Amino acid sequence: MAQVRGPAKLAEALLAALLISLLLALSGALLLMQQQQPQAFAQHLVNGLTLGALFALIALGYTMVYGIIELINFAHGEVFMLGSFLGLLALQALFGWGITSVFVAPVLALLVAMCGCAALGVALDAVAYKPLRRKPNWASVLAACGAILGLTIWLLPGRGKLDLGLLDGAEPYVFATRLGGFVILLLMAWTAFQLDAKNPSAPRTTPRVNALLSAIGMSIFLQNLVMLAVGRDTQTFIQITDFSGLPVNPETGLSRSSFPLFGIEVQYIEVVTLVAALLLMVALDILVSKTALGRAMRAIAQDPEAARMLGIPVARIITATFMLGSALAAAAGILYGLRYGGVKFNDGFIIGLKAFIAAVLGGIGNIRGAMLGGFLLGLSETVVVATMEFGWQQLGNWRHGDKVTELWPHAEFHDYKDAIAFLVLVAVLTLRPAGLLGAPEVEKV
Amino acid sequence: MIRLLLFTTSAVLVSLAGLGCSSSSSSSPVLTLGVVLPTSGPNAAVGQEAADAARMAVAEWTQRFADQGYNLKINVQDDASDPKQAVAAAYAISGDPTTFGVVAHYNSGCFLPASSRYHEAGLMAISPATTNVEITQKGFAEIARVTPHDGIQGLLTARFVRAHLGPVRVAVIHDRTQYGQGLAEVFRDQGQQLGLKMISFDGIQVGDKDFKALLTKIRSESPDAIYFGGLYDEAGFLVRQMRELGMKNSFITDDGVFGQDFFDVGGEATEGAIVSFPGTPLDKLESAKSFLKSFEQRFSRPVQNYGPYAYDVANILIKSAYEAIKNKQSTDLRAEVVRRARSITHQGALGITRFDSKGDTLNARFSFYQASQGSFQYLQTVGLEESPTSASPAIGDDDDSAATSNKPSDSAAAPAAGG
Repeated sequence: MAQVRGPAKLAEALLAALLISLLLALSGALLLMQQQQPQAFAQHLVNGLTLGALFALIALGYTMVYGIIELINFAHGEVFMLGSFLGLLALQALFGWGITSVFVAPVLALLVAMCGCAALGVALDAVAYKPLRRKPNWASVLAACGAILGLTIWLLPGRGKLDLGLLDGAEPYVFATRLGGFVILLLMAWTAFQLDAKNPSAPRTTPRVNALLSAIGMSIFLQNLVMLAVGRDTQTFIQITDFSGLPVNPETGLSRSSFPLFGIEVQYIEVVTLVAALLLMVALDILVSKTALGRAMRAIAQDPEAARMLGIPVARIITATFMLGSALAAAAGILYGLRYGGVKFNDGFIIGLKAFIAAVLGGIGNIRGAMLGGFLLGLSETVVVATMEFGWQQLGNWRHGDKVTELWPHAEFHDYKDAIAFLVLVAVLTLRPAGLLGAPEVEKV
Repeated sequence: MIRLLLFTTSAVLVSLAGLGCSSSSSSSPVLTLGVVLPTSGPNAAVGQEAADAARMAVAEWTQRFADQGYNLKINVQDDASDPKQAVAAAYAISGDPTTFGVVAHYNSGCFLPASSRYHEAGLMAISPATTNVEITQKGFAEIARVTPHDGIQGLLTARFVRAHLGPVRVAVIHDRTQYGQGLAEVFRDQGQQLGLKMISFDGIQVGDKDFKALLTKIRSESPDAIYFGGLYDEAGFLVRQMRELGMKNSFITDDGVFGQDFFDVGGEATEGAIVSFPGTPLDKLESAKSFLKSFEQRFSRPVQNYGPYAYDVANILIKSAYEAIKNKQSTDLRAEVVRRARSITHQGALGITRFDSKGDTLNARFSFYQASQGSFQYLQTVGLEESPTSASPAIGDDDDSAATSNKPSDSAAAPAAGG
């Protein structure tokens, strides 16, 4: 044993030394960049924080579901994408009725999208995951299928191009269909939930990989559902400048989508994304730490059997967890759509994957960890990558006298921003296998 | 083994066809024009239009074939812009012994692997859209295309930029696809020779929407222009985020961006972007007028982008087959089509198309357009042999349209510019 342990310790020490020197080099470059290109640095910071806020909001859904039933809900990225679509549909209807105020329309759309996605979360659980945890209650499964059908009806009038006209969403036929779909979705999800809660079926154990496969299956299903219902093209989101109530640029007479701050242009939507994300996270944190629901969630996360014996309605709490996570993903979806101006059926895949990685980075199962991981990942994709490239360049420029010689060619680190973000993950997990804030795995006997 | 299988399959097919003949005397031997285009997938819209143009060509020729005692058919296969599916479709198409030629692929990444299959099968495959340089470098007699390749697009774009913007500093971005990166590399190399200063060369991920980090870095290097090799989605998000960051540089990009989708995604930020597109604008070509009109009549939608190209390709193939059966020269129709198509001088919607020894079109021209209020305004056409004028881009003086005025209304040339 001792023979094995020796080199392992040495390797660990070497790795730690390497990481520390890398971090030192990085912070050196960071300071230098701050001095030499303060504007670029500030802009990278804004970019990274906005991106990080989105990652964090989605990561919460992964981490909450994992914390409570140890399931990696791979369909969560698709819930985010659907949240974006539902938000867009709601905004179109609102614009059709002339509700374009920047203070009212996005908030209403956010509520609609969050409700829709919360119902979708319930339906997803009832269709794909619950039958693996308990004996299937077919009535409930059927109701959940009805909910997904409602969602499809909601999306259908948007077939082709959603942006044929902003008024589309308010046309009586379109609106009636969408409202019908929305109502079916909510009612059916509620029915599925009630049917199951009234007479919970007996628990059963299935191999954990089943639930994982089921999740991947749902992910592919939802992606294809949207592709067939809406189409493959990028759907143009309502532009931020379309809202009324934005300040007007005196030069052009058009409404502005950004304001200057310390020499950089900050988009209003970037501020909104950050503020909305932080508000939602604080609300969630309070909910989990202070309310009865949160207490029940934490109890189930610790020991579901003991929680059940203490009279906690485990099935209901699990459903509530799915609702919360999906609603947060919907919020991220609508912020994403407003931020980038377009959404596509497969947008949930990569973003969902990255958010999952953020959740792992922070320690999966830990809510504050997911928030931290999200921001960390967002910043690594922007600030860290930019700093590395900058540092590489500065280090390679050998100044002698007035002359500058390039010791090595400038490398394009931005080509590898995803790789670098994942490298950060690997580095963190090597030192802290449970993630930044995750509790080390305790072997249950 | 595969060959044997194919042989038996075709033997069975032939005998089946023979049976069909004997049972109903009215049916004549079938000749099939193969079409492999992305009728689903990310480029479905382009693929559908090109396939419809090929259908139109077949419909126009059907009667003449019937007069010769043949039944002209079309077989449209979907490659979904996926190389694997493209090869499978190439096998399916070439396995049908009645196929005499193929309107082959929209994506270079699909045509490259599939071209070996067409070569093996001795089947003439002409692409209406692929532009990767490599495609015609294999020396296959069966492979040709009617679009000028990326080398020419990159070269002509570099010349255009040099002539209109001067020796500027350019940041080059590409989408890491065979198409986008290949184009960007040629642009970078040719531009450098012409005196442009290339300050960076970065790749982005297809499907990504957040390019702000990259653009922030590029902004700190203060380029005069940004060149992007890639497709409309990424181009739209790039240009939008550029403007959001307050960058006012020229944005120059390629034919993969040419289309309404660029405006849908990029919105107001697209204003002033410069796009290159192969060929001379169709409304400046007398030969294309009848095509555009009959296409719109037939399918009740306007031509958006690659329709005329597919139409010419289909016509070249069908014409070659028609002359072969009319002269009854050879029993090997496929070889005869290859021979005739490669040496054809075709007066079609694109003008006069001829192929060089590699299978590249000699009709190699690119036109430049500027985005303005949701449509592409025609600037100028540049051919290989000519150099662009350094005059204001608004006064193009290409030789093809010297007689045409350059009123803005005229420039609906941009077929995609339907509002």
